[in-house]
Amino acid sequence: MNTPTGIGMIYNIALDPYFDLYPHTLDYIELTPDILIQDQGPGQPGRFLQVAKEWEMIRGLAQRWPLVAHHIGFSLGSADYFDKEYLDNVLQLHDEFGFHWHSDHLSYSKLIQGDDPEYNTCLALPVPYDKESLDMIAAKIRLIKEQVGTPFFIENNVYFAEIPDEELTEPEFLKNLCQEAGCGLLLDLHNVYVNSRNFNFDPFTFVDALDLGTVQEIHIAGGNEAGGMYLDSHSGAVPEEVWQMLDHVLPRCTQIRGITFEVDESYIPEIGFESVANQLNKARNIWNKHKTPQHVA
Amino acid sequence: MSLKSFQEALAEIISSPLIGQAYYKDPASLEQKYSLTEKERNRLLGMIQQKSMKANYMLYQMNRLTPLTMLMNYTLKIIHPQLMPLLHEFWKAYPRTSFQFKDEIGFFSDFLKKKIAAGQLDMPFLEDVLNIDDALNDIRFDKDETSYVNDDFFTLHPLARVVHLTYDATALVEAMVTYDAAQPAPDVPVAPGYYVLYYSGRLRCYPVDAATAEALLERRAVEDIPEELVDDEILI
Repeated sequence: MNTPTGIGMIYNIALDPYFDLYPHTLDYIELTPDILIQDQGPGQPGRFLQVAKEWEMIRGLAQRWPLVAHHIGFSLGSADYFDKEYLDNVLQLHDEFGFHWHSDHLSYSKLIQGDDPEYNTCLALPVPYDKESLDMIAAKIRLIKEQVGTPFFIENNVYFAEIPDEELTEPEFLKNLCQEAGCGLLLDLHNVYVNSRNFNFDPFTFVDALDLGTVQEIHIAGGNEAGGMYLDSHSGAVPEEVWQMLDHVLPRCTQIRGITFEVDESYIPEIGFESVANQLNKARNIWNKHKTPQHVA
Repeated sequence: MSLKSFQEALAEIISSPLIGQAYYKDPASLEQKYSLTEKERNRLLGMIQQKSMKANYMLYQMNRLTPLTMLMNYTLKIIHPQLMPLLHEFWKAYPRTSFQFKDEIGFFSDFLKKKIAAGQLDMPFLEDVLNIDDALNDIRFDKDETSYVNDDFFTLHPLARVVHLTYDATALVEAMVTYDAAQPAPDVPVAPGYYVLYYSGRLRCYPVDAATAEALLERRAVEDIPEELVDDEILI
C-alpha cells in the first residue's frame, strides 16, 4: 500500500458508523493507539491492555484504509525520561498494522520524581525552546525513527502559558529540531490559531516564519471559548481563519502527505456525521486546488 | 537535572492556582523544593503571573474530572452539593495520577471510602451508590472478562459482581435515574443484604442470601442455587 496522500481523520469510537456512511471522504485513518489501551504502568507485566472489541474495529478499518499513528504517550519533552516499554508497545502495534508514519507532540506529560512511579501531568505542557530541550527531544526522535523504520513527525504545541526568555523562537526551534532529528513537521494549524488568539499574534506571520518544506502532515480542527480563553477542544467545524491558513500554506508544503481532521468523540452527537463529511470535503477541495503530481503516491 | 526539576515544578503549579500564588509570594519555597537555575526560577515566577495560566488550571481540573463524570455517575449525583470542595480535597490528597481512568476512579473511590469510614461524609445512599459504581467499573475494566467465581458446576457471569448494600438495589438504581440532591431524598426501601449486579449496557440487580453471596465471593460451590440466577444466565 502506498504512503497515503490526501485527506484523513483521527479515529474515535463515536465515528464507527461514519466509515460505512462516508467512506469516499477519507484516504487514510489516523489512529491514537493510547485511547484504546489501558496502561497498567511501567514495569507491570502485560502493561498495555487492548480493549478487544474496539481493536477488532481497527483491524476492520486497516483492511480498508492505510493507517498512520499519532501518539500521545512518548512524552518527548520529558527531561531524563524515555519510556522504552511504550516504544516496545508501539513497535508491536507497528508490526501488526504497518503504520505509514508515526507522530507525537512537542510537549511533556509524563514525569518521574524521586522513587515515585511515572505520573501524568494531566495536560500536555510546553518545553522551553532552548538548545537543551532541542538536543534531548531530537535524540529521542532519532531513536524512535531508527527502531520503527518509518517517517516520524513532531506536532507543534498548543500552550496556555508562555515560557519567558527562550533561546529560540518556536519556528526556529521547529526548524532546527526537524533538521537535528531528521523528522518532519506535523503542522497543527488549529494549534497555531489557538496560540495566536490567546497570545495576540498574527498566525499568518507565524506560519510564514516556518520552514514549510519540513511539513509532512497538517492537522485541522475546531475549538471553543471557555473562561476567556480559546481552547483546542476539537469541537467540530474548522474556523474560517484556519481554512484560510491551510489555503495559504499548502502551496509551499512540498513534502505534504496528508491533511487530517480532528474531532473529539464527545462532539459527534452534537455536530453529526454530515458536518464531519463537509469538513473533510472542504479540506479535499483545498487539497485538490494545490496538489501537484508529486503529492500523488 | 535542572530541566527535569523545572518540569516537575510547572506540573505542580498548574494543578492549582493556590500553589502558584504561594510560590509567587514566597519564591524561596520554590527554590527549596526544586533544584532550579535562576533563569528557570524566573521563568516559573513569570509564568505564574500570566493571565492565561487560568486555562492550565481549568484544563487540569477538567481532565481530572472527566473520568469521574464518565464512570462514577451515581456517586457524583449524590455528592453534587459538595462536589467542588471534595474534588479539591481529593486533588490535594492525590496530587499525582497516572491519568488512566481506571486508576483515577479507584483513587477517588478510596478517598471517599476513607472519609465515610472516618465519619466525615454522611450523605444519603452514598456508601451503597459507591459500591454499585465500583462494581460496575470492575466489570467495565475487566478486559479479559474473567469471572472470579468458578466451581465445578456454575460460574458467575463475567459481567456480574456481588455487593453488600443497605438499600434495595433495584429501587436505589431506579431512584438514581432522576436523583436530584437539591430535592428531598427519594423513598428507597431499606433492605440490607447481598445483591448480584449484572451489567451489560443495562444494570440488573438480584438479591441473594448471605450463604450464596459468601460462596460466590469465596469462590466456593453454591449449595442452594437460586433458580432466577440460572434462568437469567447470571450463573452459567
